[in-house]
This record gives sequence, structure tokens and C-alpha cells, in this order.
Amino acid sequence: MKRVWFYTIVVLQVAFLLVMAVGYYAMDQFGETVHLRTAPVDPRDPFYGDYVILNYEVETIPASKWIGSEEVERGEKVFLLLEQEKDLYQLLKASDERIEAKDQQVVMEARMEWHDQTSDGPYSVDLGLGRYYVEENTGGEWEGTDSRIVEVVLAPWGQKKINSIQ
Amino acid sequence: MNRDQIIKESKQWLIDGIITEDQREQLIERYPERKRKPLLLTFGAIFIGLGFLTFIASNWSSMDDLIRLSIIIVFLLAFYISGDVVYRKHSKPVGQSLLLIALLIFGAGIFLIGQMYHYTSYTAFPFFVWSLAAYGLWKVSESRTFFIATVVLITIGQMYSGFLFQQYHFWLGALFLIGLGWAVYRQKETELTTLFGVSFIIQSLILVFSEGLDYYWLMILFLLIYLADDLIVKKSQTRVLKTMSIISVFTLHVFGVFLLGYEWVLESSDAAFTFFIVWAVLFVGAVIRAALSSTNYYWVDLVLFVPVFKFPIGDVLSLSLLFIYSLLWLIFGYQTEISRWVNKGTVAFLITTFLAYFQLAWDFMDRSLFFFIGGILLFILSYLLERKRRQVHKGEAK
Repeated sequence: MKRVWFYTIVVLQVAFLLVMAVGYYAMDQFGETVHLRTAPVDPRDPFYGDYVILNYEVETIPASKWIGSEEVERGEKVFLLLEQEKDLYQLLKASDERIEAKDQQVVMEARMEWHDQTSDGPYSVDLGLGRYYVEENTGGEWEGTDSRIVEVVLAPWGQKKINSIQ
Repeated sequence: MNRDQIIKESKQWLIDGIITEDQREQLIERYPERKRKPLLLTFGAIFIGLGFLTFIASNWSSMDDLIRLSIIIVFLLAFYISGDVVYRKHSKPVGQSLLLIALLIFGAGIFLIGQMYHYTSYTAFPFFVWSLAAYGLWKVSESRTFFIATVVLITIGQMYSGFLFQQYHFWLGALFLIGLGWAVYRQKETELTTLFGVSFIIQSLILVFSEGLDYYWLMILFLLIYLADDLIVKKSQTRVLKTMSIISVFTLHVFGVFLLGYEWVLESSDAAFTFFIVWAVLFVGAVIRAALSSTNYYWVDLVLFVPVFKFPIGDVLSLSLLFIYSLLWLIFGYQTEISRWVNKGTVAFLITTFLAYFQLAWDFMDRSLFFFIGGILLFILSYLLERKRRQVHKGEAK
């Protein structure tokens, strides 16, 4: 066995795991903080084992705010342009092509879920922040509220995380 | 006969003067010692890995993120380093098992850290990184444990990608075809090639169905692995890839017999122009290859690679192809008295007859009558074929 190569592979694996962790901590330093409101949810629904299911208001895009192509396949990348209004960020427009953000604006990446094509229905997308892990058996505290504010951090390198839920 | 038997028996032959000492040694050499496979050790390794995982998992929630991270990394390093030391100085199998545990910890680590730090992935990327690590270990150790690990991880990763995200993971596919393809080409070991072939066929299905390609593209993928057989498998070895490819394309036609009669299948199969171009190139290649072959009969396999999907009577044509294929092998088998071909033809013929019967008689026959007559037909058919087959067998034995 070629030892140098072997240890290179081992070091790379450790480095990969460390980068995953470091990226997360570095976000606090370099990231941009955004407050989003979750959509009202069925109070029985949001808690699954050790994580809370979150649905964000901005994940439902009314057809009037959609400026991308008609047909977008499930799983494709979409971009949401959000603008700050008071404390919260609200959806301005969304497309499957990249949008430029100005001051007081951010662009968040999401994945297309589905679009109701029969009527001019809304586009449903997934931000990838739908699960918030909480300590086991603390689910009770999270139940029964219909809407919450979630603090999300966006890193310049595309990573994002939930900082806290109020 | 195995090596021990030969050693015992040949002693007597030597005494009886049937063979010389030299010849005895040559004979014994023909039966190489079987290497013991570290099967139990591998399972041991997997169990310890699982024990480790469940222990940590049950205390996981009470730990701080940084502590969890250090636990993962410390264990990862401990198993890699001890694995390396044991592998070089003491026992290869034990060392390999330790390295395998380390590899499992790495994979678990990716997902655990992902969970801790709220990563969400929309692709099989974690599996790609994981199989890349496995592939790296295979390259440095050249031990088949890691080849198997790589194939398994790539295949699971593709399934994960296909079922969850309806997509074929391109990078996993590239690692499989280039990395492992090169490895099986170099190694030429039947077991590794078999594993490669099985994974290829599973991935073909994932590619075609998750990417929404028309199902007849499967035929091209099967034809590819059929042709790859010539490159990968040595002359004297079992043609595993060819066999797998033929079984797969045979099954494809079986589905064709049942489904091609319906109109929705026809409607869905448009834009076939690219398919025919690619198919034509490969098929011509296969014909040339068959023509150059030393045996004059291998072109029979190619019958199954004729696409009949576009015709309104595709189901009948599929059935005819299956019949032609089986009959040709039967006829050539009898002519040349090669019982392997006769067996192949017999099995294919029985399946095809049963299919035809099912397809033709199911609709207008009373159910019980259908099964009775079908059973009797199969009995008669297998009796006739078996009698003929035995004649060939006898002929071969003489």
C-alpha cells in the first residue's frame, strides 16, 4: 500500500468533514441575516420526531410574481428575490434564471416543487430549510403556534442555515 | 476435484507408475490453493461499526456540536491509522476490516455533520464524496473489499438519487464508468466484472426511468455492455457481461410482448431518431465483431438487439424475435452438438412458448382450462426437448 497516498486520502476525508463544520461557523461572520415568516401550519403537523417542519411564506409564489419560463421541472433551481420591509423579508419576484439583487434585497436559491398548471395557480418551491432539528422530546414547546419568524443566515458561498426561531 | 484430493490421489498414481513426479507437480499446480475470504472478519467489522453508531446515536442529542464533531474525527483517524498499521505489520484481513469501518464512519460522518449543521442536499453528492473515498482506498490498497465497497456505494447513491430526486447523478456515473470501468478492464477478474455488470444494469434502469428517457434506450445500454464484454473479459473466462446483457434484453422483449400492444406505449415513444442513429452505429459494430469472431454463431445474440418498438405490431415482433433467438440456438446446438447452446435454447424456448401461450390464449379461454392446457403443453414440450438434449449430451460424452 502506498502510504503517502493513503494518508493523503485520510487527510482529505478529515478536511472535508471539517470544511462542512467550518463553513457553518464562518457563516455567522460573513453571512447576511434575513428574517422570514413561516406560513400558518396545521398545529398537529409541524413536529416529526426530533425536527420541526417549517413552511415559509415565500415558498409559495403567486403566478403574478413569477417572471421565469412557463414550464419548470420539479427539482430545478429557482431564484427568489426578497426585499426587506420593516423587519421581515418579503418576496418580490421569482424566476428560474438568475436575478440581481440591489440594496435591501437578497436572492435565495430554492428548488421547484410543483406548479398548478390547470388554473393560474401558485408555484411551490422548497428553500431547503424545511427542517429544524431540536432536542429530542422537546417537541411540545413547538406545537400549537400557527406562524413563526425564522432567522436565516445566507453565506456568500451559497450556504444557508437557520439561526433561530422566534 | 480440489487440491487436497489431487494431492492424495496422485500419490497413488505416482506409486502405480501412471505419472512421473514432474507430472504430478504440474497436476497439483493446476488446482491453486483457495484463498480464504475474510468474510467473517468483514461482518465483524460491520457489526462493530454499527455498535459504535448506535451507541453514539443514543447519546447524541445530549452532546455539544463540537464534541460530536471531534468524536467523529477522532474515531475516523483512529480506525484509519490502526487499520494501516495492522494491514502492513500484522494481518491484511484485519487491517482491511478496520479500514472498512473507518470508511463507514466517514460516510456516517458526512450525514451526521450534515444533520448537525442543517445541511440539505438535493443531489446524491454526499454519496459521491463517500464513494470517492472508497475508490481512493481501492486504488491504494488494491484489495477487492474496497472495490466492492465502491460499487455498492455508487449503486446505492444512484438509487437514492433516482428515487428521491428523480435524477441520475452524473458524477457518480462518471466515477463508475471511468474509475471502476478501468479497474475491471485491468483486473479481468470474473467476480469484480460480475459486480460491475450488475451495477451497470441497475444504473441503466435508474438513468432511463428517472431522467424520463424512453424505455427503448435500455436496449442501447444493454448493447453497450454486450460490446464491452469483448474488451473486459479474457478469452477463457465466462462471458459474464454478455450473459447479463442477453438476459436483460431478453427480459426487455418479454415486457415488450405484454406492453407493445397498447397504444399509449406507442404514443410515448417519439423522438426516436437519435436512438436509431446511436443504435445503428453500435449494431454495425456488433455485426462486424460477430463476423470477425472465430465462432460463426455469435451473431444469433444480435437478433435480440433488433428494435421493434416503433411498429404497431411490436408485441408480435418482440415475440417473434424471442422465438427466432431460441430456435437458432436450439438448431445450432443440435448441429454442433454443443450442449451449452442446447440448454440455452431450451430455456429460452420454454419461456417464449409460455409467453406466447399466455398472450394468445389468456383473453378468450376459461381460466382453469387455460392453466390445464398450458401445463400439459409445457410437459410435452419439455419432454421432447429434454430427450433431444440428452442425445446431444451423449454425443458429447462419446
